[in-house]
Amino acid sequence: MILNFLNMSGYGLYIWLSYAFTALSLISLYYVSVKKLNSIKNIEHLYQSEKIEEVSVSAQATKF
Amino acid sequence: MVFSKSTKNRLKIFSLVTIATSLIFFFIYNNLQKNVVYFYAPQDIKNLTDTPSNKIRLGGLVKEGSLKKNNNIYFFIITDLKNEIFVEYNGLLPNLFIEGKSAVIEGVLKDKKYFIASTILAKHDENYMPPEVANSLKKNKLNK
Amino acid sequence: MFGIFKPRTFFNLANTSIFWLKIILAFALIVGLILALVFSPIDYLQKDTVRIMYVHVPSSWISLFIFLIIGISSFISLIFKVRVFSVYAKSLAPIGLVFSLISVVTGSLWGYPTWGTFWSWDGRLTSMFVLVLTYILYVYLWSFIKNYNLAEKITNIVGIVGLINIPIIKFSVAWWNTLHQPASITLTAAPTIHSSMLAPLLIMFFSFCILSLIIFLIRYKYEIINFRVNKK
Repeated sequence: MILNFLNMSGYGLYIWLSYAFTALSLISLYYVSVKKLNSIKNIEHLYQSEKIEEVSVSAQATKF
Repeated sequence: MVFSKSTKNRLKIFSLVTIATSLIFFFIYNNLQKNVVYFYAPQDIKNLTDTPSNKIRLGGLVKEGSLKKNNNIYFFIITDLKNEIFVEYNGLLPNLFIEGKSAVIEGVLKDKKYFIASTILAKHDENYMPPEVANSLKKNKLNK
Repeated sequence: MFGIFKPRTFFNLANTSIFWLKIILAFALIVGLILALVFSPIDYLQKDTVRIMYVHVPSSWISLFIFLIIGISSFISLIFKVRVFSVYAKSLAPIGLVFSLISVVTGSLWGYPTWGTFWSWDGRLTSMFVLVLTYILYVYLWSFIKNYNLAEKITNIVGIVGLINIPIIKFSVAWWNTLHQPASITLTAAPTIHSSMLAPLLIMFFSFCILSLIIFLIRYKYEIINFRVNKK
């Protein structure tokens, strides 16, 4: 029964390859993103500061 | 809305550039329509002035009841319900190559009614349904 | 009203919501995958290969949708100089790139058993290929140009120009003869997918959206901090 499920009426290879590719690339994207953020977190106090508001540099951000 | 002068300027430049590029793309697109054809329908081939000698693609429905096999060579008819083209093919058929469904065929034209195929691609439509539903649809059609 | 566009408000919102987003994601993904792989029926012609649709179609939708946001954000950033929108675009781009790659790879894996070929240069496949290249160019330009202001301007232009490709991808199957089948789900007509297959498709789409949102929040946080540090 399990073999039948894995076989997918003969198309198992294509189906499992596409699901595996999707899972692998999404998981690696997630981990790369988290790692990148953690690498910079030791200066996290920066974004806590009030000055972060400067980032939305333009005065128009509030105007329109 | 009140924009600053420089924003207005940027908007002006942007709209000019947009109009210019869309005009360019419009002309490119028009030419592409004429020159780059992924596949020809039987009607298009009928309208051609001369028989192209290079590889082309032909697309259409596989006529029901037309598929025959002779010494590993398949013969069938591609139709757009108005014009028909006879196709000869030596090779393996894809699983979804079914009479009454569409296919795209690569090869050369021998003459305007005869096509020698080198590759066959099955084209499937946008309908997806479980087999039971397809069966009952078929039955309903037959009853009508 | 536009307070939400201020990074600090945004961060506070993100920090509280990300936990719940993860729970929703886990739930939707489990339901979606079980439906897609076990309970959804086979197609009357394609048999089990139709299951590839449940990852292929949502990925394609998301890659198109993300580029649409990138294009619009680039426009706002370039013309109205609301520069935080460049940061949105920059954080979204790698996500869109990954989804467009998934779309192309799973599409090939679907094409081989159904069409009989991994790849063919028809209108849809070619324009999707151009989208992948645009994403690569966009991401590459950000990392290649060291001057932030210059990189911002150039990528904004790439984002706006790349926007032209989006309607081409969408309507390629209607404008030209293509090997790729026309759209099954449109705004104007009833879907031509049976409801038992539509359900897993939409649930998978929903979970991919939530996942994109989570990754976006993480990347956005990184980019904003990065922006501050580089400015100092």
